[in-house]
Amino acid sequence: MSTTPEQLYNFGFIDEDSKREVRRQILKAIALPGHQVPFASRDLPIARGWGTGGLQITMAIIAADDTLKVIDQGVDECVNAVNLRRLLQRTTGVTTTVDTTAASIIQTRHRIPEEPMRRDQILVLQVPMVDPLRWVEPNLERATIMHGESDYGRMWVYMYESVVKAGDLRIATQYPVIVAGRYMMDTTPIPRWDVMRLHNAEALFLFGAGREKRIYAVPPYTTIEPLQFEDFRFKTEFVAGQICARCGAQDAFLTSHFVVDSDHPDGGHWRSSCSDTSFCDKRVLVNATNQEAPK
Amino acid sequence: MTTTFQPPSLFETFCTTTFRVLLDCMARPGTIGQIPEPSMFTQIPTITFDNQPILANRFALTSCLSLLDQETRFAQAANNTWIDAQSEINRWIQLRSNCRLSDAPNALFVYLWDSASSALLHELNPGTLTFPEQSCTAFVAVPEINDTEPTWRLRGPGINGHCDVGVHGVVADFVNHVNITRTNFPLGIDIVCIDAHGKCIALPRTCQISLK
Repeated sequence: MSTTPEQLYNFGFIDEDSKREVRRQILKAIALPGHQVPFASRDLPIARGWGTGGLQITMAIIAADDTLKVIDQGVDECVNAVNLRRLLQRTTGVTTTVDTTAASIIQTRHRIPEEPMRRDQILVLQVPMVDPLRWVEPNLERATIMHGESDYGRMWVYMYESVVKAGDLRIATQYPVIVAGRYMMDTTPIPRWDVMRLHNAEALFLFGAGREKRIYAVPPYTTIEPLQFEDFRFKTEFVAGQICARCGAQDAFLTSHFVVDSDHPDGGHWRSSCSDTSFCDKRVLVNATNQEAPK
Repeated sequence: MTTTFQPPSLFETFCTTTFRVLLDCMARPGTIGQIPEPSMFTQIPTITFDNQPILANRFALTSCLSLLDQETRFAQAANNTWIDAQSEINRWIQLRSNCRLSDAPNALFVYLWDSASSALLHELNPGTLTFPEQSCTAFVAVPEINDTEPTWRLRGPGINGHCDVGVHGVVADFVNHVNITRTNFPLGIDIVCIDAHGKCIALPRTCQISLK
């Protein structure tokens, strides 16, 4: 059996012309913060809707000296993140990491890492649904014209109706924001916790939607204003007294899961822990080191 | 048997490195990037003006080339005049990129050999309200860019407050010519200035430029 590597793929999997097209659209997306730029989304060895937009952006920008991190819901180890990281690693040979501070490109679904990102880092977000106007205008052609004319009145009515029906702004994720005072943008399914972390950030954020064939961007130091009313303000998921059961973090986005416990009268209990596992693991390690240190 | 990827060619590496420089400069207007040496391109044709041969800024021309392919339309101008599509330099570009040569209003990318040609920027396509991304991107060769003797103050997305940058040797009306293209945001021309040493700054249409 031959052990000679067979060079089947281009560096970064997609061909050079595809990369060039994605690159051109990324540059236009940066010049038009928050505007959705169409691109010819290519077929990849994963199904559309599983991160192909983010993947194509990463494939178009990645260089041999990059260090890559891929997360899904804040986790480096879940199936989707592992598969995307393996595909990128095998077709580029780049170094991969789980440490946010060591990465130069971070591809993510649903989260912005807890640790602040620097100017030499790029965050690539996978986007499931692009257009915030979809709730009020399902016709894409008409929604595009509305964006062109900055015609966002209907979205404000939608927000108002949300308050009237539910008593508050009932938007869990995909919170609509205005970017640089002009375009309304969907923040992908990042939690509200992360929305304001896009505001005047140091890092560049690139958003890719493979199924809907759109790219958009938030450059560094760009204003992000969530849609809100004077009497019904934008709120994050923060709950007073929240604490991570693993690392004790109080100022991090937590996820909850049910732990079966036969000794518990209810047969189990809910446990909250950091959604960003790399951040949490680091804190657990620091806590353990501090406890071991002689006093 | 293991499957692996083909190592990128010299030109592919140049394209990726150049793109990352352009990406950083476009995301942070005023940041000075360094375009890599386009060593794979030797003997770029010259153009003639007043019977004198003029050399292209190899960094600016080839970084523009790195974004061209069969889907793009390209034009170039020198000394305030569009260069004929049949000229040797246009054919040289077309052969290496497979781009289509076009007139100014339909070009997606243009290369301006000198800052005097910035007077032609108003002829370029600024996009439409619905599709502002279909606008033209202009690569302009300038004599010198530095951060030690600032001439312009830049503001806008990508800049923390303001950013001062020195662009030297350009015509007096250059900033006016640029500003005219971006009075109706989101319409506008995105501009990349590259100097003779490959130093590069980007002026996306969101960038407000004032003279120091």
